[in-house]
Amino acid sequence: MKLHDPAFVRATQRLVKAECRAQPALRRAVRRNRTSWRTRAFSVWSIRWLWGLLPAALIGITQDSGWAVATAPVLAAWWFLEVIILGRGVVVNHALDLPPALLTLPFAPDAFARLARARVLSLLWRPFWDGLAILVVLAATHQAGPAGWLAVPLLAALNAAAVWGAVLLLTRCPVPQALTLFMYLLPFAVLIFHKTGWLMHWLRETLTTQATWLTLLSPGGWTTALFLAGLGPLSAWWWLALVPLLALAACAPQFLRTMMRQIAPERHLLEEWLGAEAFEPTDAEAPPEAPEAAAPEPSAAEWRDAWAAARLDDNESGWMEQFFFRRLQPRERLVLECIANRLPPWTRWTWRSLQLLTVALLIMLLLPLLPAGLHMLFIIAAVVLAVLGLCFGLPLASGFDELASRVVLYGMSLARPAVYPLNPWEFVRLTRKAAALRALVMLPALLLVGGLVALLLHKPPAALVLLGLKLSLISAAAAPFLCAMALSAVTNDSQTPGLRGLRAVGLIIFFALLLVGLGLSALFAPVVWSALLLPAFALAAHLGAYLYVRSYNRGGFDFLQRARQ
Amino acid sequence: MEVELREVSRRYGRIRALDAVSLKLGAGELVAVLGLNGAGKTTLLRCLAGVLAPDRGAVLLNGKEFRRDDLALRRQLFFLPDFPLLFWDRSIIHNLSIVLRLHEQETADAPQRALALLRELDLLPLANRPVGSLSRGQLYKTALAALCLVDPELWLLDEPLASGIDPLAVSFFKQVVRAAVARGRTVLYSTQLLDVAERFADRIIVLHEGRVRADDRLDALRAEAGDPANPLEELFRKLRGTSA
Repeated sequence: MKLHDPAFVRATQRLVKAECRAQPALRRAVRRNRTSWRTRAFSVWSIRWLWGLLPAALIGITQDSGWAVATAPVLAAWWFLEVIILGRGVVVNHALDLPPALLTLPFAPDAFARLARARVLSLLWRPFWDGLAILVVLAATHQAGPAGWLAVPLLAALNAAAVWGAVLLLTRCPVPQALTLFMYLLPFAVLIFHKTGWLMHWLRETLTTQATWLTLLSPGGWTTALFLAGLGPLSAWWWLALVPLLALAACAPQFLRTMMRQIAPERHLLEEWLGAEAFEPTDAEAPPEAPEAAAPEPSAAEWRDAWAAARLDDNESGWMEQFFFRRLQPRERLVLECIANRLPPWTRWTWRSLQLLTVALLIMLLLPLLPAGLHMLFIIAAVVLAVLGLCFGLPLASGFDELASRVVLYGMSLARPAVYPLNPWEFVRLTRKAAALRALVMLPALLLVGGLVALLLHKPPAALVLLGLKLSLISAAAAPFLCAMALSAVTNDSQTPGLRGLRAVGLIIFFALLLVGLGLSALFAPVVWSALLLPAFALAAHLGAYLYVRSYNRGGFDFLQRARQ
Repeated sequence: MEVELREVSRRYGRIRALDAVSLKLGAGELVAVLGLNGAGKTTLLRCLAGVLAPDRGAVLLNGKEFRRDDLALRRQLFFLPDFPLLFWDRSIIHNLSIVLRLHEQETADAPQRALALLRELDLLPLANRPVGSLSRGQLYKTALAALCLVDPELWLLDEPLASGIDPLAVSFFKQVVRAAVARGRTVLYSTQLLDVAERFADRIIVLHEGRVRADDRLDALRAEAGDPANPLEELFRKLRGTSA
């Protein structure tokens, strides 16, 4: 949906150009102010279709590596997990958040809803395109028959529906956006290292031995596996066709309701929005404040009380928040105030995590009693619930989203920490403490779940209990770097031209790649190796965060970003 | 506070917002920064405040190179953008409290001083309201109250007189700034109002296309100008002539 009139734009551009050409002074001014590729409005999505070819290329390239059958669905699962998390961010940040400039213009209120709908619909093609590219490569490399080729667009559409179902599901779940970076990097790591046996040893072993489980991680894996199975005899994967449709049917109405509520055409809601955005109300529009304005000046005692009441308090709701808050130093409480108006509901998230993990376990427990043909469907449900449970429980998303609180100043957005004497390293320290507490709380649950899953699968409990322990440790150790990545979202590190920008981006990619490698290796390596790799992972996460913050502190980049609408 | 900019440059893409700017400001100076739109005034203030990282050059405060992790140094300055960054769902009092604590200025008389400031700025009835519900002028007054409470060595204000504050607040602002300068504080503000700058500055810096085109006391500028009655206006006409 275009807000502007292209004909008017073209005609005016022609007139302006002619006028500027005619006058030497204007010509000089135009030269001084002309846009370069760096300043031109450029959407990364304009080359998104090229990016979508990447997983297909990866799958094509790794065909001769001897583990192609295992990696194709796993890579696809991984890729679409990233697409889902990215899509969640796009939906949360853009579909539900329209340009405030429109509020000041005579824009028909119901057009807000139309615009939001158009934005969401414009994003729908992306998972379809990525899925299509992957399936075309698989069809070509597996000498698919006419039925196989016919299935390609159908499964791509199914994949898109499933991805969108998952995106909508995840909008209700805390997920750190920085995870997308790691997910982008894994396929690159596979591409770079798939022939170097020693480096990818554990990953390769895991991908080949645990391929079925890893394939369940996201719809891309299911549809790819379905395609590969469909080329041969029919399999239980066909049941998966139901999953995306169910997910979409369950989430879409709720999402649409939320979207409409967010951008409701009712006048009073728009006014509330105006108030919340702190736009200047005119005197005529300002609600009557007479009783408040006429209030007598407070007495000295009342004033002292009001001042005291305005201090940070510890009336946080859950026990985890209270426990955490009470153990903070005064300065840490202040820093907390700057990055979060209130503590995220960690206790509630932990309870939800435990509930989801319990339901997943119950499903696994009841599996023998369920119809055999539906087993795969229930296993997927259990895996999805467990993944969601881990999202809520593990300290991957700190919930300190206020880091990103910014003010849009004439086309530029400025994050709040920029103007106050705060050192971003203080945010890192605080996030690290919170992550340690949350990981510690989740640890017994993860050990228990690991043991029970091992019993259900008739496997030695030690391996899965250890996996739970490693998951907990890795999620806590990753906190410093994830915090630095949260800062990166509000700095202009990648927009800074020249060597400094390259250095910042290079640093992020290097450490992200290193953490992906170390984290996966630590997760799947034998105990002795893990004991070495886990401290290395924690060290790398700290070093990456430290170097990033140091670069900011020394003026490598700043908190001023071009505002995005 | 002694402030020095050494060959500071900052670009936005191709545009040089600041082009090798060198300046020295001393304690107890009241300096107005003027310039046509896009001259680099806001960029200069942001670079001084550490909000923006210069591409080249150095900012020295009291002879020490500015670094963002030097919180002790940063506590000695306060930058007030034309749209202040506050804690939207906190009350005015809460905002003042946070700023005071960040600047480690929590003295025993702080509540009384806050009370006096809020009274002067007509913010008392709104003191417990979330700042997100205030008008732009009220927001600016809140930030101004915070600045006065902190009373840093270096005051940096972006367009304080075009911030939507009412005439009484403008008068109060001028009064507190004069008092601060008398206490040895350095005050640097940007403005487009030439008549204000003529009356309310000890020194005037004129930026044009990222460079310092004039930096002197008003009487010196007046002596140089072709039109002594409107020296700044005359200077601006000349600047527009050079760019056109």
